[in-house]
Amino acid sequence: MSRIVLDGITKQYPDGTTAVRSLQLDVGDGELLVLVGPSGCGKTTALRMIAGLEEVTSGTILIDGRPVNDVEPRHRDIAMVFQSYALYPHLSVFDNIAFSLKYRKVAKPEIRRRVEEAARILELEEHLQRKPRQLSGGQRQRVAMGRAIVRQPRAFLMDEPLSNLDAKLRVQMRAEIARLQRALGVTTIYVTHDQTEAMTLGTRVAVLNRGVLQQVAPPQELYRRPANLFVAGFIGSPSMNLLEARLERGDGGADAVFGGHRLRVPAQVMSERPALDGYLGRDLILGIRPENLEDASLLHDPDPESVIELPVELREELGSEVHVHCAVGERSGGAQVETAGAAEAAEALRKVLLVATMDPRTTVKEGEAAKIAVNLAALHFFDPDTGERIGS
Amino acid sequence: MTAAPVTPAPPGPGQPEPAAARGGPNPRARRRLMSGWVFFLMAVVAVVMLYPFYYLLDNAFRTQKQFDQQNGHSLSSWTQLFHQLPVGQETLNSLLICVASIVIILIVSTSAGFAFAKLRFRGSGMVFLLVVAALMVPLQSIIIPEYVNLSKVGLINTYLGAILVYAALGTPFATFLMATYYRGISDDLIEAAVMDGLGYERTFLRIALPLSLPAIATVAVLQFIQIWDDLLVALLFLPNPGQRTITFGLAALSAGRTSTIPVLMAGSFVSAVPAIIVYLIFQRYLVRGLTLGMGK
Amino acid sequence: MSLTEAEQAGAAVSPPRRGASRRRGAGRSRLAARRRRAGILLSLPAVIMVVALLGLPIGQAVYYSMTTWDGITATWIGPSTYTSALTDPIFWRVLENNGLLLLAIPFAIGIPLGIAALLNEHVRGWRLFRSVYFLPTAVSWVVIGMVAVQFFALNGLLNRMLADVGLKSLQTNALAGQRSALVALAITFIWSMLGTNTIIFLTGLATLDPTLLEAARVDGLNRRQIFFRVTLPLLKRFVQFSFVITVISAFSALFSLIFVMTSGGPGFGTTTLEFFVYQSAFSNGDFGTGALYGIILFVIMIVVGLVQLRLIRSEDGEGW
Repeated sequence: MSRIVLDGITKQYPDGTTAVRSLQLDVGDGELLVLVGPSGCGKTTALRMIAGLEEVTSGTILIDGRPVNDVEPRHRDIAMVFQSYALYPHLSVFDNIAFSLKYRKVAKPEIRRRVEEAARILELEEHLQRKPRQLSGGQRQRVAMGRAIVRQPRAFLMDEPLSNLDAKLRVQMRAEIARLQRALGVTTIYVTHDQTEAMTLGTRVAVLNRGVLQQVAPPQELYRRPANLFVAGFIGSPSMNLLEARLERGDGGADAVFGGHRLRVPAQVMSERPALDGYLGRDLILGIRPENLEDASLLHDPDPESVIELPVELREELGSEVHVHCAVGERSGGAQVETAGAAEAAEALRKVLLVATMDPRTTVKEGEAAKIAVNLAALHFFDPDTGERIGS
Repeated sequence: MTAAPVTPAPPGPGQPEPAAARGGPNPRARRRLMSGWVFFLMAVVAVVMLYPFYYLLDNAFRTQKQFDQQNGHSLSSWTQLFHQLPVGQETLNSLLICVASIVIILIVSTSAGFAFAKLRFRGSGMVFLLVVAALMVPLQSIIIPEYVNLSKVGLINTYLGAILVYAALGTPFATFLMATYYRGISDDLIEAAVMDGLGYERTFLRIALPLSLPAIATVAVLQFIQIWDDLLVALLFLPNPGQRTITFGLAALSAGRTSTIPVLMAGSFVSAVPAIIVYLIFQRYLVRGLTLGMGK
Repeated sequence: MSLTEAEQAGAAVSPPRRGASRRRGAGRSRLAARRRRAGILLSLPAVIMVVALLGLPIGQAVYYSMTTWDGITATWIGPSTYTSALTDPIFWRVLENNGLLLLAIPFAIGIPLGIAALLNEHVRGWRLFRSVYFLPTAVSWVVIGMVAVQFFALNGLLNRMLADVGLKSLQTNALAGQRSALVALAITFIWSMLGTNTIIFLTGLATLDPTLLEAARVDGLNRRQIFFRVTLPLLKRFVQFSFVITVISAFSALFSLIFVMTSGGPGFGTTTLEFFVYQSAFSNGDFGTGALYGIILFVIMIVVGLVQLRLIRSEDGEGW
């Protein structure tokens, strides 16, 4: 039960590459904080620094207020679950779980008690005498968890523990881990590249890109108010549509103009984002999530100022929903979005496509035009140069 | 929204960590000290390994008297060596035998290795096991009947006799290595060739063989060193002075007790050099060969 | 995908003719037959070589071991040759020498283990060191033996070094005493095996999953504990492999070393089994006895090999 603080930690390698840049995080007692980001974003490096497996180039790591930069891993009182589980192949499941306790001079009967307790919680009781190679992937994962649990450490560190499992098992184990963490109440830092995992598990989620923290907030916050283009494009599947647009004065309000289309920006949206006023008459990036686009013909009485007509390029049937890809127009060669992360998020394609997640009853057809209603209350705006969110 | 800037909380009620457990006053310096220590140990081992060679070379350039006093250098031992031993001839003999044996070994082991690895036919597993089991046969166990057999066929004191024996001795391990290597080649490649119309034999020649050059190099290097350095076979099957290998020549010189020590040292150096050169050039194949033999 | 499926695919691809279904059946077996023929053809040379030059002599050796044979005429005696050999005290002396040499094996394995651990730290220049350590393997045992003679001789390097350090009293003529000659032999043997075994262990260390060691670090083990409780158990396969190689060398490759260093002497002090074979046959002209000892040597090797196999199998529960 601990508080872990990362105070501006940086990791730089001898050859000059910087894996983590001035990371600032405060993990509260009992919290499950998820570090998420694409490969190479530094999340695993950060985790390893907390574990003590990597040296910190600058900055301080504090566990319960105590700086631990110079403390060896075994004295930090944290347990780690590795992506590959790191089970000792020559030891039985029981011995694997009990391994660390032996070297911390815990009495034998106590060891037995703790291991059997963990085995009961993780449903490993009948496998205690087996060797790791005789277990399935999911079982091995649980043994790795068991080894961490019996330590009764101050914190758990988990490095993509579910990546090696098949999709179905992953969903199952995700719920198990969440349940377990809440039951035990141990501070946990969890690393993953899967944004779905991050959103479902984390009390708070920290998004990293190229070593830099983009945003740390509860999942809902990340979804509804992403701090910049990178977070906007990373969280949510399918990704948010990002369009080059211009904010113009319309009659009685502001309009977002893009590719020959015009959307009224509701007055409430404007008032919630005072900074938008400064963008009148200027270019910015407009973000619309696919789930905020619907087939207008299915809606009861759509506001005409929220409907645009687009040609349908592709229709993907998913059963519970339909993904409709529409063309919005050509990208102008001049407006290059340069901010770190924005380039990937915006995707430099000649034809700009908009993806809409529609109700399966929609009748839109490929090759035809469709009337699409936009949920104007859920518009996002980003500065075209910095990629930052324009908001309050 | 990022977390607010944090000032570290004052040390809580936890126990203070003993300095030793924290890795000492400066863990980075401690790590450098460890590295220095490791380097020193490795250097010591290196000296132990290399000193004999230094000793060898150093004393090869002395006369007997200089050797006794461990002082002074001269070239006379070298000239003596060349008088007492037909160095050039024997080196050539060794070379000839090595090359010929290796060629045979390679031909035989690549084809057999391919057959056992890819062309599984009835009983091939058993036969393969048999061939590899031959690895366990110690030279001394068979040397006597071998000698008698070959002398009956008149192959004693001929290059061919020694070559055949070396080839037979090297085949099991070479076949094992090649088979292991071929097993690592995807079946798809073979099947594609077959579907294109090549027979299996031609598939072996055109496809598998060119792909296995690293393994071939490994086998060649390992066998070269073994054959070059061998004594027993050379001793028994090629005793004629004109046909001796350099290794045998050197051993005979030493056993003859007519040479001075520096001469023997010089002889040792000469006989060792080719194998060492081959080793230095092809080191990584040696390491790879051992790995192949061990891993799956 | 096995080749049988390929055969079926290949057969199906061949140009369709009348009665294609019948053809297909014939096509499949034709391909299989060709494969079999190629297999036999390609493996034949190797098999012939091994059988003729390795297998046949073993059989003959068994026969000859039960005869009195001077190389020309063989007079049959029968299995009693074995009993008389096994009751020969010299034989047991020889075997004792082999046994004593086996005591060197822990050193021949343990020291390289340590060296490999050092190399594995990847301190700067480790690759160079690796080349150096492996160098002796390229050198002939004959050469090593000759240098070793110089090292252990009365006016040799060892004694000179002892004098320099002030331990003149410890000087010996190592190769003159029976036991001490054996020790000298053992030391030389260990030295020459260092390279091979170091490489084996280095390779083994490189194949270890580093996360296992990291997990141990986080779990609370110090360096020493990690090495003995985690690293070593994981290297078991390699230790076994190294053991087999070292034992084989101790039994058969020592010949050259003995030939050059001591010729089996003084007395029978350094006569090991493989040297004894040579000596009986070629020095004493007693080929029958030589063959006999050769067979005994062979049997011992097989036993060692089988024991190894059994050990490997029983542990893992998985075969080869």
